Amino acid sequence: MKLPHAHKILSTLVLSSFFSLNAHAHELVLQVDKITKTKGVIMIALYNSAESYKSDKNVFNGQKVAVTKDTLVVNFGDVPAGDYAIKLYQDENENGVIDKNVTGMPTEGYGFSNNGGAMGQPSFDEAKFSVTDKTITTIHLR
Amino acid sequence: MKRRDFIAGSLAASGTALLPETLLAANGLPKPAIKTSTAWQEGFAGALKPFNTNNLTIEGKWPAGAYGSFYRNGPARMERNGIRLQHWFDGDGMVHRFNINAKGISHHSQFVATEKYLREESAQAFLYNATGTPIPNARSPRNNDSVNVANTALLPWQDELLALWEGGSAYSLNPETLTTQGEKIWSDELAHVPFSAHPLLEKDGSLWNFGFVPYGKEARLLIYHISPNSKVIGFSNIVLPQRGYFHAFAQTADYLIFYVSACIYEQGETFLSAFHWRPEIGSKILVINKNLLDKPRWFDVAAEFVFHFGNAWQDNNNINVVMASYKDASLMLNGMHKVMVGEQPEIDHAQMTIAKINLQTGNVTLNASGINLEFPNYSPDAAGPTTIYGTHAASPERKFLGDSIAAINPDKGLLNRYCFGAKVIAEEPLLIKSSNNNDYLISSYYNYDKQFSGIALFHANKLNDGPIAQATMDYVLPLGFHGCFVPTNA
Repeated sequence: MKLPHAHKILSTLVLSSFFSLNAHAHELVLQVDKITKTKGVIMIALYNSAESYKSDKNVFNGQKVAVTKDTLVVNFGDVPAGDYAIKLYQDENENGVIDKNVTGMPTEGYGFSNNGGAMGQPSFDEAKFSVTDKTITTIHLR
Repeated sequence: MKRRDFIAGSLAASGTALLPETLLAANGLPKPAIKTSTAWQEGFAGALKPFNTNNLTIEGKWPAGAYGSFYRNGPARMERNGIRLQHWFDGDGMVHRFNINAKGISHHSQFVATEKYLREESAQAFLYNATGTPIPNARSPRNNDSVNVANTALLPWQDELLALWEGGSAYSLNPETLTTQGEKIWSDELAHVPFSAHPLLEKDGSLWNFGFVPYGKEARLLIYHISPNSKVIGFSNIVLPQRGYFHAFAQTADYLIFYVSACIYEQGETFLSAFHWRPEIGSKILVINKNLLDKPRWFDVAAEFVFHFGNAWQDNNNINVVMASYKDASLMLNGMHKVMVGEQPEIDHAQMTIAKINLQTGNVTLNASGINLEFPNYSPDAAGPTTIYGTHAASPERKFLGDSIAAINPDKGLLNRYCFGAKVIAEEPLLIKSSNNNDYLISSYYNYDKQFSGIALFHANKLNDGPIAQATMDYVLPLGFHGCFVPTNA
């Protein structure tokens, strides 16, 4: 690859990024931290209603991201302004479910937006956050 | 055992399916520690670092028949970053080893490197609510082991030493170095489940234990039967008729016996503060045939409270169980809080009580001995009424913990006892079986008059004679709960 060509590609990327930033006024970025095991994938579900959050049906956006270090960043891109909530879990053995013990306690890491849920899964109202502009939210994997 | 038996409810849903109820709640601020001081407060102060002493001062001649390792476990990390824990159950476990041999007696200890301890050590702060203390801005736990302190008891198991709690996994330690080797996971389905601090050995070398799960939609008792090579060979998941606290159990040749108290799990800021004494509900004794683990039988009894059991035996249609029975749960709900904030509790001692359960008529008779007893210990070979050793309060002025160790027989009453002194706290005595029928009893103690601790050895049938030998430290051993003795060449 010759340098001028590479330069052109880079310029195009920069320009498209610039336009992307302007176009994605409601860009949603999720940061996940406190990942203790660098293995498997993080399964993420974004919900835009209490009904879908409660039933786990009609997930607004689902993501599957490989775990390569103790943090990760997921960009959901442009989403309509409104209230959202996130559930996620680390599928360490990639068997497609969050593993639990006989009492129903997860044996793999998980988390919710707003990091609530000390006594069970938080409600949608407890987990929801508003996207009105570029929004960055952080979930601490527990 | 079928996998579906393990699955409590609809857990096999998709990845983002409902997530569970977890143990502990609340981000409230702990109440400030009361600064008044009692003479024995040092015993509840805990420790900031392990102990390492090569030669304890020995008085008397320690017999070779009692050489071995005397282990103790108890809460020790009681304070971080200006926050002092408020309940004796709360502190991170520290395991002590007294190595007793011809060269002398050494004392080494280690904190159990639980997930919680390591995270909080790294953060130099408490991160999670403790069993009885809310922590400001506490993190939500992933599961029970996020808050496991492994501070209650010890079990020699194969070539490991297991540090036991009751709300989560046992932790495996190296018995020589006390280095933590990780959580003991018996099977995937039983990862991170409550595993009580008082497992019972079967004569074939297998292990019975249980998990108490009072939270959730239904309170549950999980029963585990584990083979000598650590395989799960029996399991039962029993719905409890009431969420009453229990801590240990008893066994006969054919039955497991539980005492489900009237100290009921409801709601509270912490796990312990969720329990409330409800005498109107009464207590229940649960009897389970070892061959029919899913067929519990329930027996109603008056509301009392039990932490620990002596032995149990069968005669005709009866099951007989020795219990250390309290009139209520104020020791756990109040007393163990008071000692952490500098107050001296006044609690009615537990007394040796024999429950006779008639399996044919369903009648239960409780025979209270009138003799106070805690931390019962007995010969594992006993098949009927036998001498129970335990801590005991000889002085009527002593209203919390014992000043003595005692030998008590269910039929003959108090056989003998030794009082360490008015200002001494005696800890759990352990029976050391001897091949020549010359059994010993070993016990640690805390002298809060002169602020030192020691371990003392007795002839088990001559407690009145006082210690044969003892070893003392020039420091205070944090008061603990339970231990074990592993004889040399065991």
